[in-house]
Amino acid sequence: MSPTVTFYKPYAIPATFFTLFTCYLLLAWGSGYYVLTLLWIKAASSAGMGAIFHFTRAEQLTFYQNLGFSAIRLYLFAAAFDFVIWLLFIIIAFQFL
Amino acid sequence: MTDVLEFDGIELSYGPNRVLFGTYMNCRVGEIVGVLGRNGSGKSSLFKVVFGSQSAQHRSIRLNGGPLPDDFIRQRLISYLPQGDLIPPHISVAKALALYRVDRAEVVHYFPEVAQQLTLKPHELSGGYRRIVELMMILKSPSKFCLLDEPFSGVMPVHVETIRTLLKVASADKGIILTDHLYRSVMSCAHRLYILANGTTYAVKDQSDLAFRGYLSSQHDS
Repeated sequence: MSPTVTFYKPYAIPATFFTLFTCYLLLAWGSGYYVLTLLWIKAASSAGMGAIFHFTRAEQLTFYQNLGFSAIRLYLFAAAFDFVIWLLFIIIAFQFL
Repeated sequence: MTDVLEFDGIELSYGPNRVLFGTYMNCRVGEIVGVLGRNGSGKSSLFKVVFGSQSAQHRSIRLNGGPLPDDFIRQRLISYLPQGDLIPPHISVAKALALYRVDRAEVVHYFPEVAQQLTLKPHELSGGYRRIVELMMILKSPSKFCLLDEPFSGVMPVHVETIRTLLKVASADKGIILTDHLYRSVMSCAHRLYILANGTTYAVKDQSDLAFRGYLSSQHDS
């Protein structure tokens, strides 16, 4: 497993929770009209988790920095990976509308 | 050409408290440089600023006379053993060693007692063994320079001896800057010493300088 995936791992569960929550809202609302709202909910939750990490566990970044991964690179990877997973789940949820 | 890491002009303040303001230090590949200083003198902050994990009001870090490249992290020019834990709690020691490409057999060769503990999570190891594993990870990294913040912390004397040997072996192709309160161990393996006092670094010639800067009492025996 690569260092970037290892970095993301502790946040997989809360991130998945918010992803499933937005899927639930999409199905509950029964329309794709508010998909941008769902995207903002997901983006805000990801930013919140990132901020919590940055202000409480930033010292863990040293482990990854020693491996050649800067903090920005790790955060960007985590955000992009999280977004792709969210997009896949939302596309699947759209099939049930 | 031997690579040289230099830093000076580092200015760091916490509010009105000026922690660092007159530092100069250099380290060449092939040497071990020790940094001593009283608690709170800014040794750990200095290492963090150099590694980039802490911002400072001003800093000048040079590699071979030129500015340190912006992507020095990606290039793995400097590795850093922080004073606190290096391995995140969710990663097993074995996994951490694998990510850092450290051969478990080599760790066991130097520290046989650790063999049974390599599959544990870091918080399940004793502080001394955890320190040893983390130090091995840093010393075996491909970086040219290592910053070691208290590498002997919590390590029993017999292993301190082994660590000193490891540092000397690693310094053949690395520049190592270390700080620790086990000053005799630092002095015995360092080629040069600095003391950090009142926010400034001073070259140390002998133990009397340490007493003069208030690190040792003047009656301290050698």
